[in-house]
Amino acid sequence: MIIRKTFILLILLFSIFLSGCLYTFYPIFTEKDIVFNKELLGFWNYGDSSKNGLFEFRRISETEKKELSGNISKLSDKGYFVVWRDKKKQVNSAYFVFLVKIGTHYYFDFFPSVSNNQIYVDDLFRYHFVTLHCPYKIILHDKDHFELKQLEESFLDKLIENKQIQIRYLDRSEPNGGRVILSPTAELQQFLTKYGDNEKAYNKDNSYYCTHLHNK
Amino acid sequence: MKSIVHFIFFFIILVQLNSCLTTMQPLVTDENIITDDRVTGTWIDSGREITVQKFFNSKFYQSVKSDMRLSVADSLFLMKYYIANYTQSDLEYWWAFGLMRINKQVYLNLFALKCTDNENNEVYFPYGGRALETYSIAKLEWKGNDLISVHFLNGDWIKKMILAGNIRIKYEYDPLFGSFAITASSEELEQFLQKYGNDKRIYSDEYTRTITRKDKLYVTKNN
Repeated sequence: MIIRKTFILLILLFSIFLSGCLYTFYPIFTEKDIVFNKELLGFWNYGDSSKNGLFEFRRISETEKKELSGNISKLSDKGYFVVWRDKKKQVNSAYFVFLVKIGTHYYFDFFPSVSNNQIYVDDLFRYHFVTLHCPYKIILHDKDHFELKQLEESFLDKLIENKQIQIRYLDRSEPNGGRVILSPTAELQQFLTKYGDNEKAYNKDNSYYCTHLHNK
Repeated sequence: MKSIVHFIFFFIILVQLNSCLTTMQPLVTDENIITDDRVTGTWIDSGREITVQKFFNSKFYQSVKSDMRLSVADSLFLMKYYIANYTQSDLEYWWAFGLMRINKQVYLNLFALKCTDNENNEVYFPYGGRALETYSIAKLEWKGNDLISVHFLNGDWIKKMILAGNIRIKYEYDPLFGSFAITASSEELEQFLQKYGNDKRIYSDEYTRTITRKDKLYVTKNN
């Protein structure tokens, strides 16, 4: 849809974090996979001079819980509300994030939240968008350092092209492009279990080394 | 008396759309798109003015045309498209829609383009991959040339029927986060409407908006 393609091109200029991420319709986790690590709460610095900023991890407030529907609303005490601030300390976006253990690795499942300035957007408008999940592998080095690794979309593309994996997906229009993975949680977990140790499965350019800030 | 009549009129058309049905694939394609330029003009819906323009005449096109590289096929398709916009609570909304016909019934296929504040800042950032853009479908019911009832598909009812196995159409549903979307192809959506398009149960007064051409409304008011 050419009209949509053009408009998305303009909007992409505003989108940095989570760009190029592998997007899934279903979460990568079930209720039993959720873990909560209170040491993640607080402010975290990430990146280098070109992509630095702050993550704030906090508990999901009662008001924010109302935004969640489905069974996850009952589990929201086990999740984080993560506010991403850019290098000018401006709030860029906010997410509901769940820390989950799949196989031997930990992952974050990022699920976008409606930020304060978006609350007043007409429901009819908002209904026209289905929010997607974006998984990240997290490597906890110690209580003050962790690493976020974004899954590499092209790695999955090659597996699909070489018929090494059976996975359901929806091709998205350019320039957003890429695919939305429609496979259910069980198949997503199989993928993560099988390729979780494969360095090629992660995007080297979109990894974030995060350091805990104690003086915020 | 006239003001009371108009208050009642606006009260009647003040409809909240709680959950219309959305689809991942478009109903309108280059093979089935039609035009009906009666939809262009200024319309009144719940007291707000909706401007509908042909795509190439629209302010939206003027704002993006320097970035657009259109093939002949694209241009032919977009010639038949319409842009709608309105302002509500200091936010400006932009939509695009196409029309198609099934069994003499005209359907509108709507998708959201952008929502901006009064400084033209993008307020809602669904793109950049974080959300999947979807389409909604509505049946158009003309009442003369100046009044249209727009019957959106009743998402709550259809979803309930689908999950109960009473309506068969491709979909995705995640009970953990409550996400739901129809994944049927354009052809399958057309088949769905051929089967259910005249079934009143897939519509609801709750999901219907009646819009009046602005000029006509003023004539009525003055009379």
